[in-house]
Amino acid sequence: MRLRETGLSPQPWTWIGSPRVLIEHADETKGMSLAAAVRQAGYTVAVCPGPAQSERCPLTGDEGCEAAHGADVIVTSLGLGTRQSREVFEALRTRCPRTPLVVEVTREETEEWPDLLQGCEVVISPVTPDALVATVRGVLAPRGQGG
Amino acid sequence: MARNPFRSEAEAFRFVLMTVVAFAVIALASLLGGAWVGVPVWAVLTAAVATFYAVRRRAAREIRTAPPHVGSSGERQILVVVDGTTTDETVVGAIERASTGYRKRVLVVCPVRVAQVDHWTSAIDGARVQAQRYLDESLARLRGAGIEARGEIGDEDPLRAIEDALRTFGADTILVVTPSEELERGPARDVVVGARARFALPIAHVFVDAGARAAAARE
Repeated sequence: MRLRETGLSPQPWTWIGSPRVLIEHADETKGMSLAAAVRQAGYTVAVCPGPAQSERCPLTGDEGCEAAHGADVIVTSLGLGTRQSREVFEALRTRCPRTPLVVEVTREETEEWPDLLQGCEVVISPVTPDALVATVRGVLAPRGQGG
Repeated sequence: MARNPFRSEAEAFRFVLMTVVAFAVIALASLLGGAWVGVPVWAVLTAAVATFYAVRRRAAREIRTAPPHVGSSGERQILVVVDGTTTDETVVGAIERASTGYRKRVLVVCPVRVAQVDHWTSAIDGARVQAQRYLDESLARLRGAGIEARGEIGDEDPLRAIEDALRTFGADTILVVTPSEELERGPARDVVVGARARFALPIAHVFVDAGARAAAARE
């Protein structure tokens, strides 16, 4: 008996009815920890590890990213330290312009890339799960989705 | 989990381009070195393209999702997927560990595993009966250990069964229970690997010693 290869829903946001929070974090353990806290607060979550070194994020290409396009809030903890991470960040800003973007960066990055971060909700790394939940609630509250 | 290598026009175009270039190289090799020179060139290029897509597929990183927590903050929802066996004291221990300090709600799902040949003949009743038997025994064992659980039989694809259960149950932890003799076999491993790649939840693989239990029952 084999698993059917097409057995699962192809779109990332399988669960409907609660605000959707996409968390981008290269560190699996930390990403899952943040996701657990956000889930506990009543949000649907998706966790993306970001592109591997040899990969290109689909959001920076023609195909786009359904997880990003369908999110109500995007939390990106990929940093701004590499060209690849900045490309992803710029793609998030240009391709999902109406989606609130929470960015976890170091203090140095806030000083180095002030223009890039303008209009985003900036949290200083390392963000705690509780602080992230409070930030997500804060950015969703004006839309009546604060949880 | 399978990833379609041609999800976008750009990827399909890249494949067509690679095919055109490959056949041009094969034709050139055949013209310069004779018809039989084209054969090894074809073989090498085909292997190269297959390797390229295999590596890309392995490198593909999955987006994992999870539904929101359901219930109060003092509750833990535990989804137990019992695949091809029944629960035992190992599963009871895993449930207790996953819910330490919380009130627990437990849902047991037994996928209806249908053999390929039964698919062709639509003879799935036997598989349903077997899954129901696993479910009834599992619930009885959990009740015997003081764990109140509800249960249902699920889709034959355990990953889809998990997804279906999560739509209504909103689990905080998933336990995948398989017989210990499946330790090194593909299907059990595929379920756990697939679940970890798909769902942003803690997922534990629990092995039960079905062989030992069956032997004890015979004695």
